[in-house]
Amino acid sequence: MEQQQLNTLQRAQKRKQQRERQVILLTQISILVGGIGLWELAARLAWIDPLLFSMPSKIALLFWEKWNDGSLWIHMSVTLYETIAGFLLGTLFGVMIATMLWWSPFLSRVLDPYLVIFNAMPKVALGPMIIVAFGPTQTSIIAMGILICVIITTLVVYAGFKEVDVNKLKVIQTFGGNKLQLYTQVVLPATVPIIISALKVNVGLAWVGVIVGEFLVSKEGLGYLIIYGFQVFQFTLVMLSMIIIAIFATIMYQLIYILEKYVVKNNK
Amino acid sequence: MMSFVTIENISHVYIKQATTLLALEEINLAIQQGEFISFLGPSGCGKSTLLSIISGLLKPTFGSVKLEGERVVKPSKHIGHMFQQDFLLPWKTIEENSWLGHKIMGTLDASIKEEVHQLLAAMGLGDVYKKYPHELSGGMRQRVALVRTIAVKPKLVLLDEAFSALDVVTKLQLENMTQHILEKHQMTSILVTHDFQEAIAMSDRVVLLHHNPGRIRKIFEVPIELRRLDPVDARNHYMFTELSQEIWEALNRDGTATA
Repeated sequence: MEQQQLNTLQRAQKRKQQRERQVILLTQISILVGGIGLWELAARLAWIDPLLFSMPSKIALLFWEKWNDGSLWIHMSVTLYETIAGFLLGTLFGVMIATMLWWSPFLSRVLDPYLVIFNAMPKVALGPMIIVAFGPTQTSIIAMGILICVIITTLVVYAGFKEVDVNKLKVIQTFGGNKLQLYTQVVLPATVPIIISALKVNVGLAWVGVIVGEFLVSKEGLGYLIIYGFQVFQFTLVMLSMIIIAIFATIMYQLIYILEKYVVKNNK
Repeated sequence: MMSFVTIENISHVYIKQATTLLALEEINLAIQQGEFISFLGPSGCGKSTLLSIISGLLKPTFGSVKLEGERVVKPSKHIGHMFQQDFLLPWKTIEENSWLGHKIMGTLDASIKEEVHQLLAAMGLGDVYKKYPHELSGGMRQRVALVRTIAVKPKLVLLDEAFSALDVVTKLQLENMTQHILEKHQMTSILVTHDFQEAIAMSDRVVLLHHNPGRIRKIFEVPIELRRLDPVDARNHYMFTELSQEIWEALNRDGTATA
């Protein structure tokens, strides 16, 4: 076949794929716009109770109002800070505990049943204990974020450590490498993709921990806004907070997704 | 005269929960400096166990291995090990993989890096320093593994089925390259393989192992005419055919032929 023909075929294929992508994106946008429109319409025509479900125009108005008086920004940054701290520290502590377990097989065998029990337990149930321990402060809220993701990170990352190819470890050993070198040269880098997927899971979990923590103690933050809106029966505020949480959670997830693509490229 | 490598009364028992398995029984062998020895035997005859013991990765149940009169009890920089697969670290570039040994031993510096670059170039890997292992073919990766082993200048090189996973052409090329580089650096080598033609083509002596338990069955001297030739050319020599025949019959008598 002529080169020109091949090029034409390739261009046609590319156009087809591009069209498909456009159709999908267009459908997604239609669902969003249509959904919001339907919500507004349903609330205005009282198909649904506007007091309970609010309506998009009211939410947008409230957003504008709260944004301009600066209060929304404070609540947003407080919660964002707590969540980022919670999931980064939770992942870090999880990797550290997993490292200890890998380092000492004795410790890992001893702690195994305790980890299983602790993992099975609903961590938010420990909320009151944490508040007693750390006081009604931001530390308590971050501790909730950490607590909720640390054990699952430990288990997943430790399983990843154990699955590292023994032959790669053998290569290091034949050069007389010690345990620390096994860890830094092979075990940890081989587990980076697993740690990143743990980060992805932890983003979601840390939001749960932080919002529950704010329900319990805080005086500011998006969780506080939700509980406050609920108490004064202002569901527009509840909805606004939820939408902001959804947007932030998505952004954080996407950032980790980008990090993953960048880091995992040469790890296969 | 003291031998370069002495394998004395090595026996090894694997103890599992339900069974104990005698993998090796009373292996004795003296290897001279610069010699190329092959251990030949079917899979499961304890070849790789023996190699792990010689490298110091595995402690034998009985007996000892000495390198230049000193007992081997743990992996040492004087003993290089090459495996059936390359086991390159996927997150390190080719050059980083190649000088991994020096990095582990804390001897990596600019002059070592230069040396490793030269070794890579000599192996036809001059333009892939900065690439990652997944970008290379299987044969190229195994060459990188060879450079990684040679770069720390071991006195003894252990080749554990190092050519077995490659296609025929790549395998022959790599056999040639390996022999040249080992001779150039005057390294003593032990190859473990189930391929008797490979064993003949590369070695000075071929040690035939019995299996279950692994014992030395017979040692064949490879004629000097064959030793002088490249592994590829050796295969075309009439003496190669004769020795092949002899070893083939021995393998069949033993009931352990693999072909």
